[in-house]
Amino acid sequence: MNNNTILNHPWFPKTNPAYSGGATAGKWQGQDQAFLGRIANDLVYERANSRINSLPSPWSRALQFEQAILNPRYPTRPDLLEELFGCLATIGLWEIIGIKLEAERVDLAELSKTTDETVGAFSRSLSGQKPPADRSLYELLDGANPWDNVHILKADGQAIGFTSPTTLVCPTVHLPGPIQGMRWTSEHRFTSPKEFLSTQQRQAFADWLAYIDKELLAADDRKNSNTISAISEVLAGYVNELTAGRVGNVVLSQKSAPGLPPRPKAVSVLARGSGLQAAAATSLATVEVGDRKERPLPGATNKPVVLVDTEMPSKLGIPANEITLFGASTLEAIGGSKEKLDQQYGREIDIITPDDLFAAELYLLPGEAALTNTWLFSRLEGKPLVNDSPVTPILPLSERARDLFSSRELEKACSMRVTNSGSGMELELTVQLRISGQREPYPLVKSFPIKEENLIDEDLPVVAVWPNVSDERWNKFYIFCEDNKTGLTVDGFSDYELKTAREGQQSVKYFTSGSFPDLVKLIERGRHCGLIPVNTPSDVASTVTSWSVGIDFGTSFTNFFVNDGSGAIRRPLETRVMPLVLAQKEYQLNLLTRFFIPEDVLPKGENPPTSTALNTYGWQEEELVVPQIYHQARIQWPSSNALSMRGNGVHTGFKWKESWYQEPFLKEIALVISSNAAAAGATQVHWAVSYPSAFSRNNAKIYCKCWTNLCAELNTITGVKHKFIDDSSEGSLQTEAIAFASYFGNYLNHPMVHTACLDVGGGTTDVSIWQDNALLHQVSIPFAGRDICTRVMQLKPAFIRLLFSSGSAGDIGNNEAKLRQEPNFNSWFDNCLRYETDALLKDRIPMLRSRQDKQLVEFVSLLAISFAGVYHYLGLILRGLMKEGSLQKQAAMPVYMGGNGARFMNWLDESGRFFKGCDSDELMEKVQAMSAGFAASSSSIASTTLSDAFKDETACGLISKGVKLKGVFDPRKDRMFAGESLIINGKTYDPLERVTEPEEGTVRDYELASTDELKRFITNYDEAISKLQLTSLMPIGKLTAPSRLWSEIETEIRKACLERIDKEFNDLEPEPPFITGLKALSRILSREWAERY
Amino acid sequence: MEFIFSGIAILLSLLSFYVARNKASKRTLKEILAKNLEIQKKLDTLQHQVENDQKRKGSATPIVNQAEVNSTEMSILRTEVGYIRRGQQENSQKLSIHGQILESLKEKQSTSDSVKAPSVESFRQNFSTFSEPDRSDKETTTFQSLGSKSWLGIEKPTQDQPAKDFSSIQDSPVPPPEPYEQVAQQYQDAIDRGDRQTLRQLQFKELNITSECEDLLVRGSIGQATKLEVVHGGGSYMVISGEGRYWLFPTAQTLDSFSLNQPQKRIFDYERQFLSKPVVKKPAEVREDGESWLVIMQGLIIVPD
Repeated sequence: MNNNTILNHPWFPKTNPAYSGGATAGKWQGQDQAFLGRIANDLVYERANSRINSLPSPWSRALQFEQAILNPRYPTRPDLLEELFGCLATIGLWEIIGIKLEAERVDLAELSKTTDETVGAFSRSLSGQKPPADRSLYELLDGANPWDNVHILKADGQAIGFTSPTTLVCPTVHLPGPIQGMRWTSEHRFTSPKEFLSTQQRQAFADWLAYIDKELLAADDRKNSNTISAISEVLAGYVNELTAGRVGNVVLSQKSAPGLPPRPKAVSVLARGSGLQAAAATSLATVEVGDRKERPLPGATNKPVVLVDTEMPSKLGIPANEITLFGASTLEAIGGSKEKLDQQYGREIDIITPDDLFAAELYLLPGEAALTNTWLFSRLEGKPLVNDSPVTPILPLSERARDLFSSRELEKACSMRVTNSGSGMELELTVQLRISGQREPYPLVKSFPIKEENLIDEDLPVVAVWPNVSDERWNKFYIFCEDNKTGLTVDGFSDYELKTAREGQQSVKYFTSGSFPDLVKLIERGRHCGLIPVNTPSDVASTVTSWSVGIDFGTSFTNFFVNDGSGAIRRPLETRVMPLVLAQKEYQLNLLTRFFIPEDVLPKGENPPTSTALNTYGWQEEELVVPQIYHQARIQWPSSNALSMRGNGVHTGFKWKESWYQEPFLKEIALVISSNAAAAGATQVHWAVSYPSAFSRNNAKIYCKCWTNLCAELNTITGVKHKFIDDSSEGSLQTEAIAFASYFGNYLNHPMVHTACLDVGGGTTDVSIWQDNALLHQVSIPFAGRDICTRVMQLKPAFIRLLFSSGSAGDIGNNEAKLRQEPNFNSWFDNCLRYETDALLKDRIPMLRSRQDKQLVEFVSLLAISFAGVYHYLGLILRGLMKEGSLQKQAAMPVYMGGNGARFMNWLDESGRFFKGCDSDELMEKVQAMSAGFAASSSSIASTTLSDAFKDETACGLISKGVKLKGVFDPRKDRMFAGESLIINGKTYDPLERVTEPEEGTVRDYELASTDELKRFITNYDEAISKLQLTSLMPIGKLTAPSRLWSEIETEIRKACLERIDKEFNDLEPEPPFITGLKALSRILSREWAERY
Repeated sequence: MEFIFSGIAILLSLLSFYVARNKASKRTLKEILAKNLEIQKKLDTLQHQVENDQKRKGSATPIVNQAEVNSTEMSILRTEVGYIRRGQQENSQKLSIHGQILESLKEKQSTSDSVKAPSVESFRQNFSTFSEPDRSDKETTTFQSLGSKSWLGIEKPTQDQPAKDFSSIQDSPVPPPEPYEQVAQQYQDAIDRGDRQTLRQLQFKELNITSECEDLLVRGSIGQATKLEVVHGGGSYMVISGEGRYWLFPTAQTLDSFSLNQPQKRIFDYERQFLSKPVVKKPAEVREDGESWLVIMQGLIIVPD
């Protein structure tokens, strides 16, 4: 080594006083620890640009900090103190910033004993050179040197320094990386934290430093008072810098950093930093959640929603350290990291970023307005195009947006603008968020390129929502859509339930939601395509509070009347289906009719009544399983497709058989009515329902139970209260006969003094006899419109073609055998009759009759015979009542006739219109009088009054109030009159006797003892025609050959009787034996008529 | 013995099949020739029109000067000429194929005539040929759309089968082509290809039945023609104009739905045939009536049986 070597210069910086070098370069002069300490103290630093990183003593860094505390003139004091406070801020604010702090003890004495070459030697070196204990802040109980026991401090696993007996901590000289949320650590060393802290954080830190100071001063293990006062002074100085000396009560963390011992105090005091509450401030980033807070989505947490957006400082004009996101956390502290905030406050808040709200891509649909019932277009400025063709953007928001905002809120918050950038057209979406405490909305903006590859160029799928009712008034909503694996379809949210149906190649799905589906998620091949923002149902300003609904569940049609306080009316039904996509109309109509609910029920204004028909397309029927709506069964609504009522999946006639279809049918009709009620503002629905007294006792029980259960279910599904009183005296459940009479007595205010009511339905004719407003007798006979007309028509397709237009009757074909097997013929034909009867009676029938069309005249005569049969049975009832002594007036009764089947009375007259005194009226009166055995009297008029509201009478009567009709309305207490001699299990009933339940319950033997009354009817009928000199109707004698007639009738009757054997009496639908004979007669005459032409 | 009888029965049915096919081919040939003549006439007229146009513009060369001639007009004319040429080319091919078919049928017929007492083996061969048709037979019978060539009974020409001379057939009177044939063909081709862009281009208007009319249809009121209205999206029908008339076609989706439902809307009648999917045999004709369109002639849809 020569003089030019490094050793010619002092190894150390200058000292004051100056020390001379050694005599010989390279020769180490052994000095004791005290001497080295003296040198260290005497070192003089220029304010250096470069840092001095090492001194010969491994403790030099600690000693530097010691000097910085103790020596106000220490050259690098400010820098060192900055580092010291940076490190203390990390320790004091670890919980507020959200990092993990831990400590690890280093016992040099122990480590020195280890045999490991590296650790042992190094520890011994450290221990050997440790600073003296005399300047220490504290003393240990065992008198050991505090420097022998230090704790390495780690923040988020990274060493930040160690506990120092003289300066509390000795910060590390080099940080491997910045500590998240602590920007004062970003330059690989600690700097002053002040400018990176929010006001609250600064205060919290100042309070904590003051607390440390106080604890040091009060510590019972304190040692060097000089050191303590020096550090106290330094801490106070920094507190002054942070808060201008303002100190409050410290709020300490509830958690302690692990690894720090309870003693000495100067170490233990570091374990608990400032608590979260200390720096808590009002959030500047809490998003105002309105509707979703008021009516949370199922499964929603209802936590505050905090926005994390790195652009906040520029948008709010506030520095990041002053933007409190939540609690004590600032945007600065989390460094813009959602995850960081989530770690800290994830349990208390929901966090969103702009990326969470916006969809990744913008998807487009062909056409300018491919979506319906949406506000999307009102918030769109400009015309998005792909290849010069207009397209519809799907709102490019993620499903997360639905958790936070309702469609109604988004409508106000969203705006879209088509812009042109260098690379093409873009759609700029702005969402204006409301931030708590902020006057101005907070804008989130994202531009989406309009890409051709994102155009979903295919036929638009059918997507519909039901019901269009506010979720303040409804609890269960359906979203219907095609289930398309490769095309555009709806995807559910986690709170949705999914059901599917499949028929052939057609798959559909049904989501149910507990809230109105105001934002519908679209996907294509699993890709999220955005949301359809649905127009939210508007709430009506209405004074209506409750609806009374009368439901007449008929064989062919089901009708209902509503009284919302303004009187009973037939209220056109709105299906309240909301299509969301502008799918092709015909396709949509077909799909909705087949699998859901059509948007409109045609013909407009004429529903109700609606066909009592249900379809189960897409459901594999299972035995003993009642199908559920809508995925397994739904009402078959009328459609412009004439044959829709005759499809394979359509079920009709379930009023009398296959009763398991009743429940889904009634449920859907009740739901649709309820949706109308809710939309009109009603909060309560009172159901009044009717049933035919022809129901067997068990069927009546099942029907009643069905409604009771239904109401309970409706209470859950709808937001409306439903009431159904299972008691006929209370009016909720009435026989059709009573409800029908109530229409004439109460609604029309007709006298019910000596009156018969005949409700001729599709399957039954409900008869009630009234005397002085009191019910004398009621009976439901299974002989009505279908027996009178429809089944006769079914025998002769050519006759149907003669009468009806191809539009309504469709292609009925010529295969009579096939037509006779057609299960839904009745319902289909009832629809044809419903829509065409007026035109038929006005033009075609009078024309054909004026031409004396024999086929038609005979057909009409068959109708007349059937009706007359009913009047004959009415006469028999009167005779029976007279015999029992209850009938006061011995005269034929005026008749009120209505019901869907009563329409056919109009066919009887050549004019196509039944009126009082017309041929058929006179005929019916005569037949009744002859049957009852009453002498004709000029004073008594027993005309028939035909209703002008066919099928409305029962539904209307159910909810009509007026004259107090009296009597025992329970049909179980009113047995039917036989009308013909009958033998059941050996017991014979006379024609004027009531039929009672056999003692043994089971019917072993059932036969008509005679057909005398039927024979009497035929005789009476022909005689009446003759006496009245009627030429418009033919007598029975001219319609059949008497020689063959009786043997065939007996065969038919026998067949009908056999069907009743071995059955429980209570399971049998009551059928008066006379009616059994009448049916047989009607069938044979019809068959012969069909064969003649 | 029984086997021989059944063999004879099969042979007879084969013969009757060939004869029927022969007749059908002749009929088709006549139709094609007539169409070709008309196309040729159209082509001549158009060529003449182009030439006149050029002369009027003072161009000495037969090449169209695009700068001088109205470009839209030219493009329409060119497209038209292109269509006609393509049609003519196709028809020539059809003629050639039908010629071959006729020849082969004649040969088969003469061979069949010469068979007096077929051996059991030949019965077996015939039987197997008849009962197990090859793939191409299957393709040309049941599962082809009406618009495809195979539905017309045309098979693809092979290189070694030259076209025959059918001048004698050309003399026979042939029915004139229907005015909608060209648009119907274009429509059907686009439907078959699933070519939405072409369908969009063909579409003159997008229509739906008016709700009032739907209501009347449900009621079975028959007094009026079906009324449609123009919609912008969600239309189930499309108007295509052709030869100054307006033809109403179902959209691809509506057409497809006819296999399940044949709604009686007084727009189309339906005919059942052995097909795999519905095809438009004849579009409905419509006319504009103020803001609405009225069906003035019902169309015909062939639906799968």
